[in-house]
Amino acid sequence: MREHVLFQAPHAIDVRATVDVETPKQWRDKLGGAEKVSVVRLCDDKGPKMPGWCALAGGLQGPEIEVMCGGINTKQPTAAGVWRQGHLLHFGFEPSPGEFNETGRKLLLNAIDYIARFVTDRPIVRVNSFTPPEQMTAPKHWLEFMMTFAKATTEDLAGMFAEPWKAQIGVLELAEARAFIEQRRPALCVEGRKFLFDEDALALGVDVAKAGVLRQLVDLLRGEQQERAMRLLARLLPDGPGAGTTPNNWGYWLKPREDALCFDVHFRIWRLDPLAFWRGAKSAELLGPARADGDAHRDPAAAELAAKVVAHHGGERALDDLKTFACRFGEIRCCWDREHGLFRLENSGTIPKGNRATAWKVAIFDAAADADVLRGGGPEPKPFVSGRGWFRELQERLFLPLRLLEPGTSLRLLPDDADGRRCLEVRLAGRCADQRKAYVLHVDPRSGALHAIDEMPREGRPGTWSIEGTIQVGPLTLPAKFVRKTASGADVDEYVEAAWNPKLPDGIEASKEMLLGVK
Amino acid sequence: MRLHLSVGLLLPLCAAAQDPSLNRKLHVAFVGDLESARGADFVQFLRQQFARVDSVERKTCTPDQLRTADVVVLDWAQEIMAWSQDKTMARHNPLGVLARWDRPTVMIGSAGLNLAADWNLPGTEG
Repeated sequence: MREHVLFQAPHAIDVRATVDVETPKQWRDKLGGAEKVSVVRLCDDKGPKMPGWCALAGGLQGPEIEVMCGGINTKQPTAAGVWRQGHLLHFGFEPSPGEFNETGRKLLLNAIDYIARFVTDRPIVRVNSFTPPEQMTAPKHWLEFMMTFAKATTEDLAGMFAEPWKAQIGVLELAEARAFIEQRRPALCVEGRKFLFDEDALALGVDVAKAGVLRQLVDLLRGEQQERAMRLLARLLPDGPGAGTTPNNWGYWLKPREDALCFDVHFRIWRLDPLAFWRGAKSAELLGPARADGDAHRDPAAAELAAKVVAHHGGERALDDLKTFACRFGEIRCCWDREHGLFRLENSGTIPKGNRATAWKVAIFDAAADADVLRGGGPEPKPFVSGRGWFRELQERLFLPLRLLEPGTSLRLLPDDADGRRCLEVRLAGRCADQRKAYVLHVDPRSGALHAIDEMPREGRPGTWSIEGTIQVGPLTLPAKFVRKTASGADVDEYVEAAWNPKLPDGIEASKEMLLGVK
Repeated sequence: MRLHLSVGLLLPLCAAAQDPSLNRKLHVAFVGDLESARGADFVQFLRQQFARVDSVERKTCTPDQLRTADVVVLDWAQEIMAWSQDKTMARHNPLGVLARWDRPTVMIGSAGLNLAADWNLPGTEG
């Protein structure tokens, strides 16, 4: 058990209130023969037949993974009982609330509270599981085990490698085989279910898992070892720009991502850590609770003001019952199927003669997967139009006042503005949200109505949208008319014809036809 | 790997019940076997603690039933041994595919093992 907020809030757990229990026999060697081990009890005299599931700690490596505690088990003292990968919290203890004691129930509640703020994070590291067994990745933990297990044989080790390494290892004595593997470990790679040593990594003398190896390889693209470096980069970065990329473009690709790449110990490749990339943080340093969104401890004064804003715009849980939504802005109609995570845009506008713009009709964005289903515009080399920006705008403008109390939202009270309005700084969470953008809401202190939203982008100048109109949508009162002063006058964005839970036409998830009607 | 929680000692229950006012006002969706005593126990407990709790039957659950919850709590008894032994066995993952699963989730007991196996994530080595 480690020091962790999971044991502290919202329900304090006394982690020093331990009892000594008999050390599982499988643990004794690793615990120096200790006969007793101290545990915090989660159950008293009852529990299910299947007490739970824990995972071997060796496989739980990745910036998005953290282990909070283990549990008494039949394998290893370091196995994880409660741990997190991205937005998934493994609560390995099987009892139901009635079978837990008070401590167990508190731990369950704290787990729910803790994971609620992991809105943006997702699993990065992957394995091929053993169902079906033929798909299983070369098992890292099994190799590590065989490297020290007293009863291991050369055949055990050789059998984990692809040819020609299998044959080379197979003729060695066990100690020699281990030394052979250890010597080449920096070049260890995975291909299907087998390990191998990458010939290019061996020839270049690089460690494929070492921080900085990708920069090292990009630098080698300009020298005599160009071909080897190119091949190895393509192997280590399967989601990178590809083997045919020029040295310059490899450099351009790597520069903004370098700090956000992390090593997948299972596939032995490098993957992008999207959260680190979006936040402009180093993946290696963005760990544990720091990967959560929102406020661990919300300022009560900020929360009170936020509650007033939310109440004015429809109420704290009003969004819970929003299943579908539709509206129009200008010549674009949109609908949001919230339950299915789909956002659709249809543009009936035409480009005036002499103007240059991208013509498009339909765009579909998968808000659950954060991916385009159908882009408008194109084909290449003409530009495409993604629905992502519009979906983000919908969240940042119309729905912003209703998202203030969500667990992933950050709130900070600022000094009142010159007109005596309360100012609340807000950062939203989510795959579609700009992780480095803040908004300052100017709030009527009596009613909770929004008067203006300052957008504070990560780059460029902040801008202020005055809110000059609202629309009533079912129980929601949404800001709908946004006006921004410009040097030549004003920009006006207005959302109209909004509908609460409308029946959406068939085919919105894929159709390229206009289904939502024209202006 | 089985995880054992229950030990042979009996300690008096002396701690106070969990104070619901300490919890965030969350919309929780519980996915489990609702007709079992275990499922009913989870739903009752969660409803005592959180602002809104939806209960969803695991066997027929689809992700669209869960999309508006702040947190999903998934209770799912171990199935992976059956999957390993019968490759033709139909699998029903109540949370759908990983790429489209976007809700913060607590996986109770072997639910994490089932999901890790179906989604090809770490957590099956135990």
